Amino acid sequence: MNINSSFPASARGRQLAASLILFALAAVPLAGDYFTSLVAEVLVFAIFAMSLDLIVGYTGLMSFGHAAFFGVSAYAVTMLGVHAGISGWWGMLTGIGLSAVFALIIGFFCVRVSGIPFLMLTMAFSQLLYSVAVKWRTMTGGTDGLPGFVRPSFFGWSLDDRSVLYWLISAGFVFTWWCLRQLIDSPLGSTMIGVRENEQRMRAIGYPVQRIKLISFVIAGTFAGLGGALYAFFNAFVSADILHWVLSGDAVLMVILGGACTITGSVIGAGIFLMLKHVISSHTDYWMIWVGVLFIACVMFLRQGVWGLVLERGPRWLRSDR
Amino acid sequence: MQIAVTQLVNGFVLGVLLFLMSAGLSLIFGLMNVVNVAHGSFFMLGAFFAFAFGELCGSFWLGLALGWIPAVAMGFAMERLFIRKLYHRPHLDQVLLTFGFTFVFSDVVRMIWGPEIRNIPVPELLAGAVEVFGIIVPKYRLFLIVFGGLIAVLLWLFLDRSRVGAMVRAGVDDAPTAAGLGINVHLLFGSIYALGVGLAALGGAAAGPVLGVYMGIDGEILIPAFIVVVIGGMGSLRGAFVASMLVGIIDTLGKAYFPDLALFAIYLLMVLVLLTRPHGLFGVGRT
Amino acid sequence: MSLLLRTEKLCRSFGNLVVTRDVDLQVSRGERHALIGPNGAGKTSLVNQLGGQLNPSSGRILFKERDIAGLKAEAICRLGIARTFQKNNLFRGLSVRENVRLAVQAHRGQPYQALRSIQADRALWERSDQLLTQIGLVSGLDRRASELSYGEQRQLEIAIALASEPELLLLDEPTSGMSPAETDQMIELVRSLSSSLALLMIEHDMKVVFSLADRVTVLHYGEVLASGTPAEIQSSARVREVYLGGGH
Repeated sequence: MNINSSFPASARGRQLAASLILFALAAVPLAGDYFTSLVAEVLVFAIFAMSLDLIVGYTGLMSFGHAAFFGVSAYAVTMLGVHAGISGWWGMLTGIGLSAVFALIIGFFCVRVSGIPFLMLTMAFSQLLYSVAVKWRTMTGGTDGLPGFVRPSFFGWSLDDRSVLYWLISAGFVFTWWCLRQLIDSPLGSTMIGVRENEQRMRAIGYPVQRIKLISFVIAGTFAGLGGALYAFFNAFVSADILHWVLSGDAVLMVILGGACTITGSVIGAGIFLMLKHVISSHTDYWMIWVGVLFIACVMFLRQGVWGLVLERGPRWLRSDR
Repeated sequence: MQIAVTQLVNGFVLGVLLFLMSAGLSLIFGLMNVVNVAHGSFFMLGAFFAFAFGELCGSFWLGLALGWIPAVAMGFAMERLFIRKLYHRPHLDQVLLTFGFTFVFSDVVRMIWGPEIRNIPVPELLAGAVEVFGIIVPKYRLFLIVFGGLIAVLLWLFLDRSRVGAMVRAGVDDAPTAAGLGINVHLLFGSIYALGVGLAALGGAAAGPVLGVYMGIDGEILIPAFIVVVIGGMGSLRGAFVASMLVGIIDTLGKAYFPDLALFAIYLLMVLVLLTRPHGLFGVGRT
Repeated sequence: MSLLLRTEKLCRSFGNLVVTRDVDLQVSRGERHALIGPNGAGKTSLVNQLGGQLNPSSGRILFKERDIAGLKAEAICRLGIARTFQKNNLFRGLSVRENVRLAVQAHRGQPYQALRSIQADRALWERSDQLLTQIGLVSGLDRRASELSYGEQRQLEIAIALASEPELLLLDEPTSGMSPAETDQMIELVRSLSSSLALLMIEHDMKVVFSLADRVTVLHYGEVLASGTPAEIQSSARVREVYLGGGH
């Protein structure tokens, strides 16, 4: 399955995007607390979306269960903090580790199938975790959620300060971006792209395709875990909905809307989705219909996503000549 | 004994409702290779429309009889205007499309009926319980089992015995060849989509008094339906029936006797089936 | 002298349809072996079983005296068998050079490396260019594979397979869909391949078969009808009656 019919970005294009983004990130706190908070939320979900893009856009696997890894980590951080008084930093390490482990276990089963069964299986596992969270009310707070998380401090600065929290999340975002970029440019990344382009041929030339899919799945799950931990820091509250397949679907939406062909696309998709949600819901309760309509239009007419369109129609030097 | 039978009855009820949900899902996938993520939305729409018609006409029966009609019309339009345009694309694009519609339907329901939980009361005729061989069984649940069984039989007769049914089976087997034989595949696809979502809507309407009518039921009923279709095999009606009953009973008995393990039993079954027989127990061998 | 590849009573059926029936095939090291037969004779199914794309129902496939029947395609490739496909099976969205580099990387590179860019590994790129030159593609290598002409894509098919440095190369109708000029080019290409590389090629074009093959095996309804040198096959009355006489 090839959903990347668009062009990857050239080195210059990427440098441009990177510079713009770093500049923008630095400038955000100047615009006030509300905006800073909004951007922080976008960045957290951008991490989530970028990690999903690794498996959807680069390895060619459509997963509707990515919320599992985001949510597991968020819960680990929050539960350890609220029930055991453990610092959010240890919680974060635990959360990311747990996400990686879950991704390994779930991925091990899921990569054995592909296409629609893969989609369903990922969805089912995510729902399994959701049901556990709902059932295990005493520990997780069920659908009502678990409040009371105390944000740890960061070298003496309090993370309750919106700006400090923002810098932390930005750092996490830039780190994720950089890591995924490195991965995609590396031999391992090229094998994932190969799997997306032609799985059968990859096998015929000697690649262990299932293993590559699993590696991709685990890396994606791990970064989703980072996103989840940062989400827990950001929100200081988590409920079972964080594991629901609807959140997985939201992530898919972000990736497709922005453009599955590049990491930048997922970031843009996260931005569009959250901006729409916040802007529209401040005017009317019915924001979902707009997101739905936009997404339908995107799938039908703009399959390469917003950033995909930019790469296609923009100046030549934005595109890769590899 | 009473408890065991009650649980068994509940299991059959859930099985029947799952069948109404999953039969359509399975048919749509079998014929059109489309995974209809919006299928749960139609279940929900059926429940809401049944509620609306019921209130309007003051009759549960009219609500049940009419509730599926708007859903069928919407389904037909959706296939014609949207899904049809994507047949040449990878199947996952169609999945994404139907997924986008879940957002739209969710807000449409909210716009029309608001976020409150609605209630479809059990009709007079079916209120209370009967005694069958010394066991007490709620009348409405008995009705659901009979109703669902009837629909299943009608569906089977339709697909197995009628000309249209033969065309559907041909299309499920090999759409291009069926088209080559002069079957109007476009009309067929549209009709099957409408039929499939109509069944879901009927299920939602019938389930109203038992499961409730509320936003969010679309997402909740979808996963069990997916599980059923995966276990039973995409495109197989027999598989959908057997798997629905299996899942319905295991889930209900599991919740009753092993509440902590109930969750896992169904998902475990799904995982096992997907890993050993990815095409399901009766599947037509498509991925 | 041991055989590079031999099959023992290889069988494959789909329900009641038997596509491969008790096939005993032998290929020696460095041999050019053609597999011919009418459409539906089971040639591609046989090659699919040798390449790991299809599991045999019964029988053995001995490659260097090791049974590879039922192994996964990636394992078979690592053991030294590479293949091309009847319908171009390229990485259409990737550049021509990347198509080959991926195959070279599987064999000579470090596929699990995640810290360096693939651009940095000059050796793999050079090897890819070398292979592309060998099969006759020298310009426009940064184009997408989908932009190549049909004949060029067929050439690329072979380059990718050669990158695995196989001892046995399975060619599935390498000249299918080609013009006479392109076919001649392909014949030259195949002829120029290293003499230590054994070839098993499915072919319909008799000109190709008789100019290249050391040995020919004829399949008919999944069974081996005859096997021998091109001259023996040509003079076989049975073969003529069933296949050659029919005009291909």
